[in-house]
Amino acid sequence: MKTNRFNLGQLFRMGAGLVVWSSAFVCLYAGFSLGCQYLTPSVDDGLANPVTYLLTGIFLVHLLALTGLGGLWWKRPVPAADGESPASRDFRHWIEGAVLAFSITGLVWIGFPIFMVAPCAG
Amino acid sequence: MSEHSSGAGRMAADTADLARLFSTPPGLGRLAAVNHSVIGRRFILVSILFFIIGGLLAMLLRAQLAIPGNEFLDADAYNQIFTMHGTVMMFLFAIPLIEGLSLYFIPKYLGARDLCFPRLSAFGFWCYLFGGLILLGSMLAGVAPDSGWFMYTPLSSGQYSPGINADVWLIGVTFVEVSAIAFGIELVATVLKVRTGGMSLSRMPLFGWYILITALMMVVGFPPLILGSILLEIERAFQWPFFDAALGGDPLLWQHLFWLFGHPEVYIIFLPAAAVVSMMVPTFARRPLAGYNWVVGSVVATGFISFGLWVHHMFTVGIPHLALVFFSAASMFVALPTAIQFFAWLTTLWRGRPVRRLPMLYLFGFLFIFVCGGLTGVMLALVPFNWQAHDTHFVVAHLHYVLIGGFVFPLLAALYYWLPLVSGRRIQGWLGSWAFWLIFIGFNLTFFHMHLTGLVGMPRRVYTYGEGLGWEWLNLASSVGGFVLTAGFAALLIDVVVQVRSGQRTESNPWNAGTLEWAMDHPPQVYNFASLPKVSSREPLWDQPGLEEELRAGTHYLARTRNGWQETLGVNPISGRPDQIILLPGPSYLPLVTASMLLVFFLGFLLGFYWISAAGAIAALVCGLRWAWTCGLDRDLPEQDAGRGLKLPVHAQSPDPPGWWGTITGLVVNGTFYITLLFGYLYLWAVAPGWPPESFIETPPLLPLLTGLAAVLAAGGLHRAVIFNGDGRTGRRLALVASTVLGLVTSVGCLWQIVSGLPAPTGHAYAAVTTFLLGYCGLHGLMTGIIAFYCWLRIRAGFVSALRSLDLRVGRLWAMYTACVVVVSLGLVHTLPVLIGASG
Repeated sequence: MKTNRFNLGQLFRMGAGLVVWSSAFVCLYAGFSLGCQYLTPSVDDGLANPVTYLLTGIFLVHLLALTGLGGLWWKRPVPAADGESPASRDFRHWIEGAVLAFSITGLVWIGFPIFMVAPCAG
Repeated sequence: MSEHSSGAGRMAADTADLARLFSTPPGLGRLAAVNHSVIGRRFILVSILFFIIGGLLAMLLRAQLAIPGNEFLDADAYNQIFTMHGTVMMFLFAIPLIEGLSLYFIPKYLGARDLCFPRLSAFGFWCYLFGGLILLGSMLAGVAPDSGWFMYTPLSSGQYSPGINADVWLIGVTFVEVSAIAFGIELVATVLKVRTGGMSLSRMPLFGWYILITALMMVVGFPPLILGSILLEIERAFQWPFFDAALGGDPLLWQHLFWLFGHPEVYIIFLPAAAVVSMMVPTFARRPLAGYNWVVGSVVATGFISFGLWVHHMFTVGIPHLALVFFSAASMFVALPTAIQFFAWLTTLWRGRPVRRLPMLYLFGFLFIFVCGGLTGVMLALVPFNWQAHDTHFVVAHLHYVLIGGFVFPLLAALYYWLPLVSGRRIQGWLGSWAFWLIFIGFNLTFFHMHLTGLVGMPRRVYTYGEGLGWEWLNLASSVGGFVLTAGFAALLIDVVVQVRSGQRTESNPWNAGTLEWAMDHPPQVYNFASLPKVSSREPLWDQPGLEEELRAGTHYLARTRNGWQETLGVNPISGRPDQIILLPGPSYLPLVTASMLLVFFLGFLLGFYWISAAGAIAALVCGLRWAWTCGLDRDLPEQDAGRGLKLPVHAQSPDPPGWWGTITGLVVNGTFYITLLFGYLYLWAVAPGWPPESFIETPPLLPLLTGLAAVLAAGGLHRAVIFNGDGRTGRRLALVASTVLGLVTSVGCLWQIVSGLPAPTGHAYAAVTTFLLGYCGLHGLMTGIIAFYCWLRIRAGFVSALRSLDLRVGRLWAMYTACVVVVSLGLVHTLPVLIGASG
């Protein structure tokens, strides 16, 4: 009787970049909301304030995570699934890379306002 | 010769058997139907009926606004009609139509005989129908919802909507959403697991990819609205002040919960429409879609990014600049994957040899209108413009350009595209072309002018307006356009009915498409394929000549019938290699009965008969357990012949049967609900006015520790039961008894903390939301106990063995999830007051 258990991680890796992007999105929004509530920076501080530092930290951690995933993608391509053809494996590798590139672009795109706007003004 | 004729005779007998096995019983037996084609058609037909109703409501609105100072409708009637128009179109037409199309076509595209949980689809249909009838019935009774399809608080709260109207919306829509969740679980498990041999992810038709992502979005997107609806209904029924700013609640929490669902909803509607475009464009361009990989990547990206835009519906509520820029950036970013899909379609047409057919006309309508809607969407993503246009007719115009352009036009194209397959009739073009031009011109006449009406300042949701504001001719043009649009739809309906009833028989695969659904008979048999294809490309009908004949001759998988089983293939989700034979359940009344018990639950709540409601909930649970009892095998079976020299285990003896995937997906639904609840809990704590409350939870420190420990040990017990079962050791029943007791202890522990440690939930939002959170944990503890006991019964009845362990593994997953949420919740409930209580 065959007992080849399916590896959920193989499927997960295809969208891993966007999972990190989602985490960044949630953490940035939550960090911003809670930071403004409990760290209460002054608007006069401009970008030199604890909330911006917190958000910068969140941003960099996620950028690092995405870079790490990029390294994994480059150095250790996805392993083949049970009975998988090389073309199928190449496809998953391609999607994983494209999703990573898209996620890094997305992180930079939604993250850049952190460095341009005082967080709690408005 | 005789061997050949004997083979043909055997095949004829097998196909006759297949037809009998997959058929729906006649007469009242139709209520027990579970076949995906039957359920899909029912979804489609009922959703079209609701579309007609929603359209008629729109006509009333346009008639009212045609001239200034009109007294055709009064304000109350207008409020009910615009609320019901939006509700019907979004919840009773668009989503169910997607569900119906997916249920009908997904197995056909994937080369399967049915979905993996046919009874779940039937259950979803009944929930949809009952929920829709509740909403429709309220309209007939004159108590239809009247607070807008978004139900903003405090307008929809008890103070300002004291009647039953808002309750009808909350109950009816939640009932319909149960259906959507069932659909999501069904489709995720089916697309991943129930495909034909050789159909790897890289060879899966794009329709499968789009529906997989849509189903995942529904799984994650609907729980926030279900949670919001439950909280608001509890507030209205029992005065727990989740959204009451005077008592520590926050009306904006509702807006967050609603739009956490509401914005992804737009993409949940758009993606399936884009799916049918991606299937039609290659057929009519007579070449494979350009950039398949790019499209897959962009669909996956859309699925994620669409959840990051919800606040752009709330730009005017007063939020800091950084949040505005943050969500504005995300809103613009989502245009990127959509643009990739557009360029893929255009490139395919550019590089192909397009032929002009009726569906293409509707596709060009889609391309034009949806691009316009997308551009106004980018305009609205810009904060300064959004502030000016918010709540004006400009937004009404934009959303109709997106939804009608991006959803209705592609589906009208699909209607003509699939009509020969579904009806077996040939398409005659002229009336369909007339219908297109009427719809296209009528649509633009109606909604293009609304951009201008909005820009000159007309707000939405006003039942009339005065003269001299410059809105008169614009509104009149929109109303005239609305009637032209309706005439177009009427022409289309007549055309379809005439062609289905009296059109000529179509030839096989009239569009010369490359995908599997066209390999079936026109109309398809109830079992779809006489044998399940072995595919080696994305367009098997283009690349595997003679495939249709081979399938009919039974030379592929599962051509033979045996034991009265309904069979389809299960595959490795990535490689598409067959790894199990899935035995499908036959017709059953259980879906209808279970949905009926839920109807008792919902109606009891709606009418304030809470004991009846509780009885309905318990009866639904019992029906669910009875339903689960009918699944699985009570003995181990040897591997079965699947054809083409392949021997496979039946799914109950496989490591990852569809039930396992369904459980994982169900837990994602539950987890999303829980995370959204935590979001609400923390949101109220951090943002809502009127905090901190006068008092926090007070319990003996040992009580939460023991409760959390019981939850963890209950999960441990189920884990041990799985291990013992796999090793063939004794002790699994004892472990299950322990888990049963510990699950109940968890439940009692949570209940005890609510009763003994919390202030009354009506006094402050803190007590209300904490009670809800602990109640959620307590309910999960109770369910852990019930599931562990159920597993014990299943072992006793012989449904569990070392090979057949799904019951235990499902129980373990549930118990582990419960342990996690109980530990996290108790940690938050008992540490937050200490850490930040006073500064909240």
